[in-house]
Amino acid sequence: MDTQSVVARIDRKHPGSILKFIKDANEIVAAAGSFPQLMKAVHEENFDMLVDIVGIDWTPRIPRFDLVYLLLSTADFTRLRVRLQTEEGQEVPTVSDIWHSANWGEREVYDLLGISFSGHPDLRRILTWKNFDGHPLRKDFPLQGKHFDKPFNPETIEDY
Amino acid sequence: MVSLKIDGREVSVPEGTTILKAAQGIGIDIPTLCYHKRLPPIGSCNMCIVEIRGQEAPVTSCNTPVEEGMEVTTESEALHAQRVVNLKKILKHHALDCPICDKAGECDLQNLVYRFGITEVPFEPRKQKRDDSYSTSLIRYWPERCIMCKRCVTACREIKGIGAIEASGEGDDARIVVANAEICRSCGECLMVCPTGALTENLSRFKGRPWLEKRVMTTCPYCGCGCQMELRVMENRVIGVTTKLDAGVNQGSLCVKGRFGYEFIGDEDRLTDPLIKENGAFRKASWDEALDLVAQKLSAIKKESGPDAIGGLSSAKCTNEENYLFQKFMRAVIGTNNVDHCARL
Amino acid sequence: MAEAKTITLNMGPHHPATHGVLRVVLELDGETIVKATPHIGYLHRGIEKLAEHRNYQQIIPLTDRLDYSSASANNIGYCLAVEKLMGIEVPKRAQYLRGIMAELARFMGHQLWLGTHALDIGAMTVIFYAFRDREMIMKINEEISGYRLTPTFFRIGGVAHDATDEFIKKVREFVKWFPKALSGYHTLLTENKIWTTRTMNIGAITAKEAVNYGLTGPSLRASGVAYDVRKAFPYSSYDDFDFKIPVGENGDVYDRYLVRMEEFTQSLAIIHQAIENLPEGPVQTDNPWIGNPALSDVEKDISALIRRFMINAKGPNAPQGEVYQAVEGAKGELGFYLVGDGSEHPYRMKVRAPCFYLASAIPRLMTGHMIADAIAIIGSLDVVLGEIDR
Repeated sequence: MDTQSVVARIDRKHPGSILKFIKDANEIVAAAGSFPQLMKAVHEENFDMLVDIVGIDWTPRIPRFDLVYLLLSTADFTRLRVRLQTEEGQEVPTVSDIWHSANWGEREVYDLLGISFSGHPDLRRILTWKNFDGHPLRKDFPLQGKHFDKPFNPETIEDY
Repeated sequence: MVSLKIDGREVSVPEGTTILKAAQGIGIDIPTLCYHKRLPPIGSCNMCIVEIRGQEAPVTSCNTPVEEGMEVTTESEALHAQRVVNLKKILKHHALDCPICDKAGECDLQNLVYRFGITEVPFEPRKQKRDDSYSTSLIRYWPERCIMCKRCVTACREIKGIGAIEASGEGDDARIVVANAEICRSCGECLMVCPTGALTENLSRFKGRPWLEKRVMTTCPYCGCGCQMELRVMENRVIGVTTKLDAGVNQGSLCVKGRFGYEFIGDEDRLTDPLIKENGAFRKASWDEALDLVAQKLSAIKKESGPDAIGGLSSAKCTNEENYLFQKFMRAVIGTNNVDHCARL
Repeated sequence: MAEAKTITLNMGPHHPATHGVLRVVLELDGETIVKATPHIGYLHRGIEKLAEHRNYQQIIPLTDRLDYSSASANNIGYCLAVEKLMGIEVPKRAQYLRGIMAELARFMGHQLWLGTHALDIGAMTVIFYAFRDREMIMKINEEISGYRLTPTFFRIGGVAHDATDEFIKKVREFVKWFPKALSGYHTLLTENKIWTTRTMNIGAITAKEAVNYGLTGPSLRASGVAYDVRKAFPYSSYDDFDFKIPVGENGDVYDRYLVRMEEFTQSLAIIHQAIENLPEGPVQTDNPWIGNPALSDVEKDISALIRRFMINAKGPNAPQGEVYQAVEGAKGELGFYLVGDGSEHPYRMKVRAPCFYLASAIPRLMTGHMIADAIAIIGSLDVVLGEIDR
């Protein structure tokens, strides 16, 4: 599939939803405003599998986070990346109603990086526990953990 | 001011500046090995060579002063090839020691070899054995690791003004020799500037790797100078002392006490409890008991012979605050001016 | 009429049939599952966070511990991602050796799956045969790397060292032996009435849904989507080999079983072609900043010693940039998203774990089935918790 023409078609349908297209990496930089429309349009263009969602903490950059959606078309195996920049505390519209795999993917990003998704059906922590303090993959989270110097008491853990 | 061009970039520097310093000033990185910030240029390694327009042979940038209108090139294929040749020459006899070398991991030679991606330097043993004697027993000289950069000799002469060691011989025969062992003060200045593991500390050999240890910035406790130093800490034990070039009044130098006198910190024989001498023998006591005894005896002496019968001598190993409290105690509580300190100098 | 009541049953994390520490909370109406909620994270070791603090070489052993049942398949994905980021070409012989090791790892993964999956459903015998043959691969791993389960045999820019004659001999023996073993597996299960009754039409998922749920690997192919990273995006000389992608039709437990059984044959074909056509040449890139010098050079060459020291202690620098490299692991598309910042540590490493998305489909697959089918479904997805939790 020619990603260039896909991008051109989407751009015609939703003008302004694509900020930039990087041909070498097959990457779309999405505008925050019309993100759900863009993702719907991408899905309609046959990118039927959301392979993964990658969150990157670029602190101290503003906006702080990059979300990279890795997409794949199983019709002819074309890959596409959609990048969305987002700031701490900002909510990102969910895409779990388009691809079910985003359900857990977004939960993981929420757990490890603390990015909230609006409209997610079940936004709970997934790898850590309910009352875990902090988000481990943020750059300001220490490698050895936040409370390394205190004894660990499993009784305090609240599980779902 | 002198204006010149380095790699096509205009730069103006005061007269007498070397090309190397002028280049570093505008962020151009010329590889160096024998050059050290605190030392006068030595010019023994030929790594910092640059090309000057109009001159046939490359020159060493560390000891060539800038001239008006000079056009300097710091990177070219010929220079790179020449640097690789020079580095290989240095490496030829270098001992295959990295796995057991204390310096491995923070070694200038290693960094340069990796930076240049040097390959194929088969080891050639030296024809004659070098003597590994050194001017002080606190430092061990590993002649097979020595690359004859002469930093140690220069540091001994120029920073400390001593000249206990000297370089002798030419070519393969070159080595560091002890000129005047009796004037060596074991300050470890040579150890500090050594780019490789040719000079290592005898006290902390094989105790830990540079990347495993934690470095804690502190002030030397021995006298009132306030030299800055870094303790090398591994598994909560001090295994050595290093210095940072730009830190504190000492700018990286230390004396023998600061650099080698750290073993008392973790010493087995260090007192952990107060001892009271009774009938000619010491016994362990609690702090309360010991302090009560001291207070009682001091009051008795004061009552009997007056406060001036008591004198206090404080320790340089205490902090400033502790020393202040001590003199305050002597003056206000005991009531005497007989107070002194071993680091009064 | 009495009000319909459901009971909640907690399964795991210490349930032997969850193949690790997966916990599923089942809501049951009688014996029928009305809702299943998987809980994960009991094996979370923070590998992605750890990777940000280690250099590129030191991360390789961490990747072994993702899907520990097929460790080399993870190594290859990670090494390829780093090589893509750094722009290094790996010598052909190393690519072939990597292919052989990765396919052997697939065998190990599938044999573990076959044995435990059958054991879960009640077929005791299979695990002994599967583990007998798995032992042969363990021995091969031990021969080439010294480790049985987690070989860590790959390096950035190639493999640790060249294959020994003993290794090649053992691989040939395995290739010769395995078809016989495979037909034994088939005799035990494929047409077994109990087996087919327990697996057919259980946990079926359509192709469209499977894609939407992000399933990959045998679980996706069982639904009829011929997506295999080895064919779709060939890497490490896989396009040199002639092999087929087995696909199923119904996407149920039985089809997933058949697809994996056929993968044994195809992997064997790849190993056979690779070992017989093993090219001569170096097994490490000649790039002096990345290629780890051989130990024999280190003993007599100071530059090799220093480079080996620096490469292992400090590690090579990777340029700035972001890459995604996927490989076909034993469970599906295993991807590494690497962000380099010019230093010797990755700025961010994201592992696209196939089992993570397989586990996310558990509620969809289990709902409506009997409680006894729950373990059949978990077994057929072949989830490994080391990879889900990272």
